[in-house]
Amino acid sequence: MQIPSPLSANYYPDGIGYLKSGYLILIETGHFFIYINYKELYLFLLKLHFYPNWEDIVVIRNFIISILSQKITSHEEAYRVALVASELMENACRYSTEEGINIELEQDMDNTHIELRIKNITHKENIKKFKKIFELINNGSAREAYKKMMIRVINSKDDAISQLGLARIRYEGHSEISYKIESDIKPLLKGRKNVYNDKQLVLCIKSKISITPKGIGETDGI
Amino acid sequence: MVFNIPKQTHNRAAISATGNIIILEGDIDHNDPEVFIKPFLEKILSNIPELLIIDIRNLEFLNSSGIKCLLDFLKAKPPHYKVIVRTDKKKTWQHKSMTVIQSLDKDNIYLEDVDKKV
Repeated sequence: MQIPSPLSANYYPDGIGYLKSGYLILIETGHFFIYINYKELYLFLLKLHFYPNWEDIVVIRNFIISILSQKITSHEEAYRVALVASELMENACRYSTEEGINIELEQDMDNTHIELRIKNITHKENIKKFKKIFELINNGSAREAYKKMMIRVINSKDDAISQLGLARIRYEGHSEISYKIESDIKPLLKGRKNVYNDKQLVLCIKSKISITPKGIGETDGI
Repeated sequence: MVFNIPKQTHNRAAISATGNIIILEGDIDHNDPEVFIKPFLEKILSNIPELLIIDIRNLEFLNSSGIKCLLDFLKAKPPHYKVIVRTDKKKTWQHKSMTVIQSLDKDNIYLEDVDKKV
């Protein structure tokens, strides 16, 4: 088995350093080859931390498409992963406190899934609402759940938000969603003082997105 | 009714209307896309033709808040008026999203998957 060094810096697309908030930090990325029985596999892990700035979402979305479509999967499937990330980042930006959002993307060993994990601090009230939506979107088939949520939106008197995001992730993202709530919010603060209180919790959402490895059943669509 | 509303841009998104066709382009990924889509669609609703085409072939991204705008519009139109949503066959997300929307009212919402870009 041979494990070359992490990927060289020129792999990263230009946009990553130019977020409007200026707060995006690339904490860690690993990309290496493992040779097992002469079969070449790519494993991919990306960790990002950013502050809730709406304009950064498009930069991260395009970064994900770019990095995944180079080596991991087709452009179409990279787009799908980015769609899931984008919807989850939008939710996090809307409901997160100011302490920031952690995102991790990790390719699994058998190269059939990308696991996307997103973590942010939010108020307990938002977590209650999230749990309610989560129950609704996890009933029945992904398509039916999405349709039901659309009907719910059409009949809703609340104009403010769509609440379609999670159902869309499940259906369009070909994704299994799970979550956990953590009460210890300190690790996410990274040295920042005060700002949190007992009305806040950490919401950790995991989305397991099925992908086809690059070269298998690849199409040009997005 | 024939429209001739020039292209209105908002960040990376654009919306216009010509003839009986509404054209959505670019990235609709705003925190609140209603701010620019709703007033535009209200103009259309005030004089909506019996057959309207919504062309999204050049739409690269549409967030769920943008989908909600479309749903609100489809709900607000007269029930028996027809809408064709024109999608780019190569953008599978368009077909996937719009198929579910179509299933809400199969008699009045149609999909047209087009091979060629505008």
